[in-house]
Amino acid sequence: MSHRTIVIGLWVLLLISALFSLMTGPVAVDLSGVLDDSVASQVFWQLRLPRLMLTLLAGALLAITGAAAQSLFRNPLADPGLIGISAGAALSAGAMMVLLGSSVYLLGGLMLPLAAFAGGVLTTLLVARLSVTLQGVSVTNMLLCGIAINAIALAGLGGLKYLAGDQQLRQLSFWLLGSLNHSRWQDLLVLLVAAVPVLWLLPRYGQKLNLLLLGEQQAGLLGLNVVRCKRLMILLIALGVGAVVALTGIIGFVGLVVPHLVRLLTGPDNRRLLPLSALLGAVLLTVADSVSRLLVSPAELPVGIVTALVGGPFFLLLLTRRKRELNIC
Amino acid sequence: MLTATGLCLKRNGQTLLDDISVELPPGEITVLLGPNGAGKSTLLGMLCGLNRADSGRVCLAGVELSGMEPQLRARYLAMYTQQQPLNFPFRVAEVVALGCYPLLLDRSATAARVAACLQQFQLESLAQRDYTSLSGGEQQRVQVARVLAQAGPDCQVLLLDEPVSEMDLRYQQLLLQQIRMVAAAGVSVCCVLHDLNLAAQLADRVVLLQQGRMAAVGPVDSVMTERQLSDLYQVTVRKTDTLSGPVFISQSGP
Repeated sequence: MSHRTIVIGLWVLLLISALFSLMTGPVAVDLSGVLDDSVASQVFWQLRLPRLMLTLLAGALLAITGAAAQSLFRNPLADPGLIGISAGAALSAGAMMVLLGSSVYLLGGLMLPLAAFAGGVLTTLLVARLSVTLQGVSVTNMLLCGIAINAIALAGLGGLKYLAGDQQLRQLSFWLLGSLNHSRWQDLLVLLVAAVPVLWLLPRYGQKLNLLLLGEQQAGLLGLNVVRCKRLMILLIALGVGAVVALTGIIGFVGLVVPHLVRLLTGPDNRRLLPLSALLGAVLLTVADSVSRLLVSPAELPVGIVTALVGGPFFLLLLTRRKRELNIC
Repeated sequence: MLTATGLCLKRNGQTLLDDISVELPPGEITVLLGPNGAGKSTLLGMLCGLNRADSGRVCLAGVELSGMEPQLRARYLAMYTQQQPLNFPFRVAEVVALGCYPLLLDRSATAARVAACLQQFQLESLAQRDYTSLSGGEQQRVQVARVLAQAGPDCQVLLLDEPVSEMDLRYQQLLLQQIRMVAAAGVSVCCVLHDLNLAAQLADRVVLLQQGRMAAVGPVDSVMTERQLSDLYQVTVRKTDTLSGPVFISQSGP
């Protein structure tokens, strides 16, 4: 399959899944009736459309940051969840939710996103600081730090659940499972602030990430300013993941599975991998969101459950295939 | 000309490099010999400008290398390192093409250069293969080809850290031939080798490194003597002169 065919195919899929998502839900929405003053029109403009936009951006961000993280750590199994960004963001936002109670909705609902974003950036900086060695930034240390931070954040969130009242507990639990419910236009604005720099800059670093895959020393010898490049990548990944976690909770596996699929299609070249991952991530999260609304309609499942249910087994399949390949060698 | 003066490096109380001064003149091939842990790779790591010694400087045509813009340095200096951690399924041609990165070539010029490098290392038949599926020796050939793809018209220094360690005899000789061609174009070459016979075939000049010190420097005949080499490696080295040059045999025992 040529690169062009794949790009066009993904855009077509994106269009189809977007239209499907707009029409899916407890209230039937006919696209011809969205301009009049009906209930369906309100559902379309106030619920479906902002939700779709948020889903598209969140999917694109999760997938592209996953792809970038895997190249940065030279490990196809690496994922922003792995280095503690998601957990750090979640802990910070969860703390806000429980400790502030209902006043978390002050500041136009910006408190939660800001807290999660700050938590994501802080954790990433902490991991980066802890993993700097004499030889530069050590990838192994970084992953190990991520594991430790994940454990700490998990414990912290457990403690918060213990402290929380009934109402907060329910809110916290649903948010942690990853949900696109209650998406509003102002959430979209918050997400855009992160999405524009991430989706604009990351694809421009494709060839530099390719050099990093050769090894940090090799990349340096080929003229890459390794320290500067890695720093920028870390910030962009933290920005993207932090913003998504803030608004939707933890949606797992998109950042892991999507780059895998794209690599199967076009190979590991980051110049193609990054933009295509963004596209496919948007498609897959939109589909997953539609499914989460269809399965238990008129209620809905948190989308994180759907992505984990589909992504988890898929990932295990990849692992067994990988193991079989290694055994042959 | 690459000039290193007074390089000293200590880590954890251990002296890794002790006052090393070495010059790499244009067009000359310097072979670094020494036992494991003598500091050969450490020295190359300093010569390439990526790492800084505790004291001393490395200058290319009078300009300190570590202060140079990375992109510019990459046009002047190419280096093959022992560790090649690439584990993503790039195609062989894609790996070699990454070597062209600092040359700022357009797409067709890159393709032409990659094709030429693949041909030089007889890798044409592997061009579309997945790099991770290759054998160790094949991977080494690909990485060396990538490094030589980087050595473009501006290249002045080529550093190679055990570039033949996994190659069979045929490709060892092929690489020596390529290195000689690069040197003939006026590039300063410094190469770490463990095979004394290959070293004698390749070297214009030999540097013996022992526990971070330079034990001897000079042409093959005066440096690669039975006594010097036996002292250096702590084994008995016998040297026999033949019509096609000296032949070295090592035996156990001092």
